[in-house]
Amino acid sequence: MAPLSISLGNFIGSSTLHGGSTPTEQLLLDQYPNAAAAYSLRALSTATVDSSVVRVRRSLDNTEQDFTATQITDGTLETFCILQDGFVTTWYDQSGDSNNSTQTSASNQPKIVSNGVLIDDIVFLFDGINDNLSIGSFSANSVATISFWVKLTDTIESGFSGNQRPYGKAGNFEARWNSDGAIVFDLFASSSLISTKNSWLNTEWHNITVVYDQSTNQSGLYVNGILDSTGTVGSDLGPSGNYLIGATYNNTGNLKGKIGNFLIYNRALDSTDVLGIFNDTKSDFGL
Amino acid sequence: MIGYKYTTEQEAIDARKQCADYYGLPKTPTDTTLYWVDYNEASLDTPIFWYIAFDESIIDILGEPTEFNVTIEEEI
Repeated sequence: MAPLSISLGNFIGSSTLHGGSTPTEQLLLDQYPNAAAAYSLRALSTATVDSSVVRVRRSLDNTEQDFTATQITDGTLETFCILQDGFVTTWYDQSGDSNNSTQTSASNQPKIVSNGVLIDDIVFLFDGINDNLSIGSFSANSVATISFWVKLTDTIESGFSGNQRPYGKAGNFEARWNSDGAIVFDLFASSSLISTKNSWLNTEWHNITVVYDQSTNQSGLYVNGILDSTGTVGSDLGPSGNYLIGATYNNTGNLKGKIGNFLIYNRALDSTDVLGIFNDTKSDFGL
Repeated sequence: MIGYKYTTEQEAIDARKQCADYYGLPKTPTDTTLYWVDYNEASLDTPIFWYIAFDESIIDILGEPTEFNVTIEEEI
């Protein structure tokens, strides 16, 4: 395993609550609290375990309904879709800050049920054409952690095209897959690009995390919990504007793949926390 | 890009409403889904224009699509 001691020392948080001593009933946000936004098809905290995690529109008659994490896996969602398709209209924010991500246009809604069958119980599918979910107007915080699971649909052989964005905000504040397979975090200023050292162009699940802090002018890019690259931040994080999951701000560069467990913290998680989030969620993604 | 190109944003808004009305959206006042398709702004093109990407479900509403170029931000 690669060392985790690459100097992001100023990112050290006040405490780490995960690990062997953590009670098993604790959920992700109980262990890594105070997220600014947190989206998942799993319940992320004990406080929200009975809350809806997603709202779905069925193609049969455009009826919408909310579903809890349990109702996704117990057949309730599939029954609702009546052998047809279901699309995500709202991915509810479980942080408590009500930053729900929504899609108001039917043709842009990612699919969660196909012909009455749940595509996956932990993620849904972005079509690479126009699917996205909007968090709304967003100003990048001066210090933040953005973490998500992502899986591409295509390889080069099956038609992968570059410039696919897992998320994006006005002013090139975004993550993207370059055509060479590198994953790039763009924090607006050209001097603050962080790129993975290697190509991650395959159809496996990846847990991708960027941590940055303007006060220390440091940023770090993690893949599967391990620090891959470091960079600087710059003094400007770009204008506020529409923030999309699955595309850049103007609905271009659409991701063709799946996204799960999208987390935003307005603080810098330390390397132990980043690895802890990866370890605590990887089994959901088959790792 | 294959779709429908508009020189003013209002034309795109009107086209979006035509499609929503055709499909009876929103179905209820509390629904999240307000439209069938949405329009995008080609903000990097001069002059700026607005467009709706082609989808077979709207050909009966908006007619035959056209082909045009949209400039997008490329990787650095």
